[in-house]
Amino acid sequence: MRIAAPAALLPDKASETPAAVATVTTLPGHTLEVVSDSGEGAQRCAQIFGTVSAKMGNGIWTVEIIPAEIQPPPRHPTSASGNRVRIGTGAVTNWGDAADLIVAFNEQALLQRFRLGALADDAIILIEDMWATHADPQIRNAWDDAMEELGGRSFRFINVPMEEQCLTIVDNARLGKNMFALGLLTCIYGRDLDLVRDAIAQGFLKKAKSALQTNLDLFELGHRWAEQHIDFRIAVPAVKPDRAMVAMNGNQAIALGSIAAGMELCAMYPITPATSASHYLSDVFEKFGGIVHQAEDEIAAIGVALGSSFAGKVAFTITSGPGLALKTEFIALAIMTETPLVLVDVQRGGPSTGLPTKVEQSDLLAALYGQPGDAPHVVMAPATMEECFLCMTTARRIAEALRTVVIVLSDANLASGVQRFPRPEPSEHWLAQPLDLAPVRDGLRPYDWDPQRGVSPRIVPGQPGGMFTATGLSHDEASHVGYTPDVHERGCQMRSRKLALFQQMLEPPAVNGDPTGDLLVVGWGSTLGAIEEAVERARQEGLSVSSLHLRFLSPLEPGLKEIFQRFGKVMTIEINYSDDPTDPFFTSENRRRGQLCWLLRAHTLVDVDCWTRVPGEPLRPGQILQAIRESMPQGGSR
Amino acid sequence: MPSDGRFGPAFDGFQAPLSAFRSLLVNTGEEVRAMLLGRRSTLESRAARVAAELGPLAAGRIDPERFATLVFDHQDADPAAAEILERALDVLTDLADRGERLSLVQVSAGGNLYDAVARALGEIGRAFSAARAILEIRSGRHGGDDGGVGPLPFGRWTKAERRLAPPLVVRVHGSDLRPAALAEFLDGRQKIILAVEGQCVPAPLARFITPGTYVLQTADGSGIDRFAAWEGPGIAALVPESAAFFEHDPAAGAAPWERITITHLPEKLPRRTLAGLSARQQAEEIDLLRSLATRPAGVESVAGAPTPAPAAKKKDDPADKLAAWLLSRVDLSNLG
Amino acid sequence: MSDLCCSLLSSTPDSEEREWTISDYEAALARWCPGCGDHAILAAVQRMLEAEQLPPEQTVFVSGIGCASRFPHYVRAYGFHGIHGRALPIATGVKLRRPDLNVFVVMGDGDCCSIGAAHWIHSIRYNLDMVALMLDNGVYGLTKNQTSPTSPRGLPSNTQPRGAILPPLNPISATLGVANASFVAQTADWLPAHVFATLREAFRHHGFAFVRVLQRCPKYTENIFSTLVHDPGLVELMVHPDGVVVPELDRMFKNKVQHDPADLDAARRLAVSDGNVRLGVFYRNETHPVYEETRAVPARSAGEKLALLNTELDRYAV
Repeated sequence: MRIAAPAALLPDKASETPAAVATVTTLPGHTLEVVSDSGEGAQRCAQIFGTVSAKMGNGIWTVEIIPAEIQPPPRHPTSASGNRVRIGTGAVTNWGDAADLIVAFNEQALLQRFRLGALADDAIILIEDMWATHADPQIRNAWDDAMEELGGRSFRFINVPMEEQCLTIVDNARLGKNMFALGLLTCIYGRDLDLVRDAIAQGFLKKAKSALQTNLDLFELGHRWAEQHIDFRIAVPAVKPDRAMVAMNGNQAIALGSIAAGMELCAMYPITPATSASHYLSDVFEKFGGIVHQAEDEIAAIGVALGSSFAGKVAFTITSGPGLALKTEFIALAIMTETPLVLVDVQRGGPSTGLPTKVEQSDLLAALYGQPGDAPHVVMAPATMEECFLCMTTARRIAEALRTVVIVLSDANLASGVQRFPRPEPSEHWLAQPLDLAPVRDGLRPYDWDPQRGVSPRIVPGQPGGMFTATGLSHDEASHVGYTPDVHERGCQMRSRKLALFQQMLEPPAVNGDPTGDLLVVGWGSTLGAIEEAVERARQEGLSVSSLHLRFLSPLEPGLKEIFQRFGKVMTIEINYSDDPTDPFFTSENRRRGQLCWLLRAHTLVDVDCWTRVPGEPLRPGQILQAIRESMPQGGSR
Repeated sequence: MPSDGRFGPAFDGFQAPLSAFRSLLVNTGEEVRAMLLGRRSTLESRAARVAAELGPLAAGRIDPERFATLVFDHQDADPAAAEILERALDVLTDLADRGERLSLVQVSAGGNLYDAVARALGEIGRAFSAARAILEIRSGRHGGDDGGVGPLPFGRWTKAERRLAPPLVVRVHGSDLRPAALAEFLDGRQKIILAVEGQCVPAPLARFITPGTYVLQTADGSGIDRFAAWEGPGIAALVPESAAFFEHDPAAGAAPWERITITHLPEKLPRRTLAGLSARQQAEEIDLLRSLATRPAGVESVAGAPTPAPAAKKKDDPADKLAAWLLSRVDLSNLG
Repeated sequence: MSDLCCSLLSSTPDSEEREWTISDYEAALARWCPGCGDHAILAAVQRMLEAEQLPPEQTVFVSGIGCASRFPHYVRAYGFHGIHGRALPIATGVKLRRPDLNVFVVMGDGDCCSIGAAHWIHSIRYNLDMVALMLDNGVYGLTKNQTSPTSPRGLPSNTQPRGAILPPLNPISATLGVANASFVAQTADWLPAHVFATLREAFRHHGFAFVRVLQRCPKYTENIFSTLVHDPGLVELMVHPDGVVVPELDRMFKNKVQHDPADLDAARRLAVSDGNVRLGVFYRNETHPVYEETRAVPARSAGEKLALLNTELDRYAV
């Protein structure tokens, strides 16, 4: 027997309410999800929705919901594939808390999102209802079980006969529902029809016209169905920004940013979630005089980048945690030979193969200290898609000026999420990087270190009179191998002094909120938006909270101790593992802390606390807010 | 790109060297641009430039004045040097913008082929003039002169420069096809392709056959890919059916008859004087070609001995001596 | 080798006019053991550099780690003495973006055939225009006598004191088995004229030239080549006008085999040892595409790049 969705929440199926009578709710923001089985195109539907919203002037943030396999079994909770889109009147800086509306192509995908806490208590659920009356009794039972699990809450269910409707146009509805769903959403959110049609057409540039028409027809069908059957509309007013904007994901931003930075070689080996950056680069790089070299392995990838940099053409390599581990020896070689190099690590869940498609911030200490021996280098972390774009220019400059390695820590949240941001204005200054093969002046040695600052001018092959052999062995100013205590001490000192010098060039970080207070939360990387939203909400609740977000992790930005001392308590928020301090098993001695926390404690001798989680998804502002509430120091003002 | 008639195939085979030369101009131009930026910064604020180079992410995060101390600049702020650099950059940019047109020569009716080619190479030579002026400045040696960046005749090109210049495609009428004097341009890796319009003498290029020179006469462009790939100098002509088709590939063997493949000889012997050559002289050229291509009776093949580079050629081959002698006999006085 | 310059400023007229002599290629005094085969190989390499008149500033020697990998320190040219097994990726990066440079790679047998084996196999496929020397002494010398992948079976070492357990890997056969193999030769340190001639052919070859040099280690593996050194009858020279021609060796070596390096099947047969050790060019094929040429892309000026970047940004405009 079929268990019906709670009667009070069932849509009035009989009503043919015209759009004019639908109630319109105006909101500053809304979060929606589209989920299907892998291969049914929910991602495409949501991506178009996101792009169109951005074009209309809304702030957006999209997050992919991806199963680990390419073709997982259908109608299984782990198969849920799709996107979350959060839109807002102003800028949107993170993926939000729970979805206010979800379109689900089957009840198992819906169930998965529900179980993960992705749905707001009063979420509107548009669900394909063909499964309720499916010929296969197992499927009918699964539907019933799901409805029972979902029951008893304030969800508003709207059954949508997607299959039935799509079959009026196509034979295989599996390949058409996403456009139908796009029609539904376009109607509900009042999206610009022409923009949607254009965006659909963009995907069919290289395909048959008839295929495009079919998709457009499915889209119009969905739109009409919603006009006739859905009695509410959601308006998220858009404000046309006063400057040109772009929307892209962090990997695209890193790829484009590397071009804007004048790089001409990306040497890589396929690894999730870093690789999509090289997909995009492979498509366009050659137009710019650059190439993507797919090496035989992670080690060769950084080796090729290093060789190119040694020869005067600064290159970069892009990888993820397991690849970072393999590249370790080469990172140290670049540091030892003082060869500029940019390495992008798009972090995923670890250790080992871990969570290949999911976000985590657990490579920080490996990036800083993973190289055996003393190997000082720069580590920086972009916090937004825009910073992913911009950091490549900055990283390359630093690498060249300091003759060292710059590791850029991105993560899966930045890599696959799409955000709107002001269109970058590339400048020829970013690019300037040609070889200068002028003869080397007499007496100049390859490591003529400035004894105070540790820096030395770079010599590249082709320069007459500059011949030297770079070596990973301990060496003196002339790059002659030397094992004596003074030579090795001196080399170590010089490589370290560069970092100290660079630290002096950094400005103290800005504090978001009051410069003093009860609690300072400190973050790095992709958590910026969620942390700042949580802090904002906490401050509205009257809590005395500020936040600080670090871009440079090595060397650490200056003035941290002084800033920390102005707050009653300092706590990092990170997506990496730490032991739960409320578990009596842990003491302050045996508790393992978050990675930035560890670093800040060592660096400042301040008793920094941490709140970290490893859910395999971005942190939600609501979660962070709750952590802030619970972490307020005793006697804090309210 | 001109696509009419015989130009199309000639250019297709040369896409790579043309593009390589343009890349050379662009890369060199970028280096000069950077040199200029480095020099100008002593006039402008270095910190402002460094801030621009670090990009917006560094704004408020990295102190550009301090970072500027990491940038090792040229301290030479001589305005005269900067002016020469700018002129050199203009030349390089101009040549790069001209792209394939730089390689295209049109000999007007009744015009002098040698002059036209020399002029075109001289134009290309402006790039080398510019490079030399830049190198002088870079080494801090530039004198009080204006660092001339004018045309540089082929005769003054260095060995390296002779390997860098792009091929020339010359459109010339058959009656103006007096190629003998072009021999002086066949050095390094220089290639010249003559796209002949109208009737021409049957074997205008036969006298160019020397051990290290690729020589090609073809009607449809076949062989032009091998010609383009040859590491040494070469001359090719796209000729009408009334001329001989042959290919002299220096890599194909040690003896001339191993290197020459004749695919077509005109049926009728020439009867009229054309391009200053009498019918007899024209017939001589055909005979020369035929004799070079024929293995002398009783001579065995030289076991396929390779000739990997022009330098490795044997210099005492009788046929080559003959060819050289023939070339030396050509009267150049009325061509200059 | 390709002399396509990256820029008109990358070679100076001065350097062209200059005639290089052997002393221009000499750097630090080599610190290999007395009697080490590497000394003779170094001398042959320097002779070859002089014969080909390669400007030292346009020449790069890349090595890994091991006795052989000290090589760059002893040649006056640019050098990169990297990490164990990874010379080839570094060299690939150099040549890929700086095709104007002459690139030489020097590896040992452990470097090339063991820890760096993946790079060896794939470098053959990439087929960049460079010379890769594998100085094969059949042992790990620098770390003091451990079994290498080319140690003859039964050879005792510190890690396999009762003799090498496995049969040795055949680097020539392995190289000949890889797609795009383009130049494969073998020579021996005690025949400097042959080393020189082989190196010169390798350098002139357009593509990835793999040369295995049989190299004596006086400390640990003196015996593995001593019979060959003393009995030229055990060595068979592969002769062909397209291979290595060393007239001065004609009288010493009676064993010769005519082998056309264009014949891959014959090369594979000859590579398999049947008691004779063969020296010369096994295989040579210049028709394979050369990676840095296949991947060459037209250079773009700053202005062109900015215009193109803005076109790309248009794709993401909202």
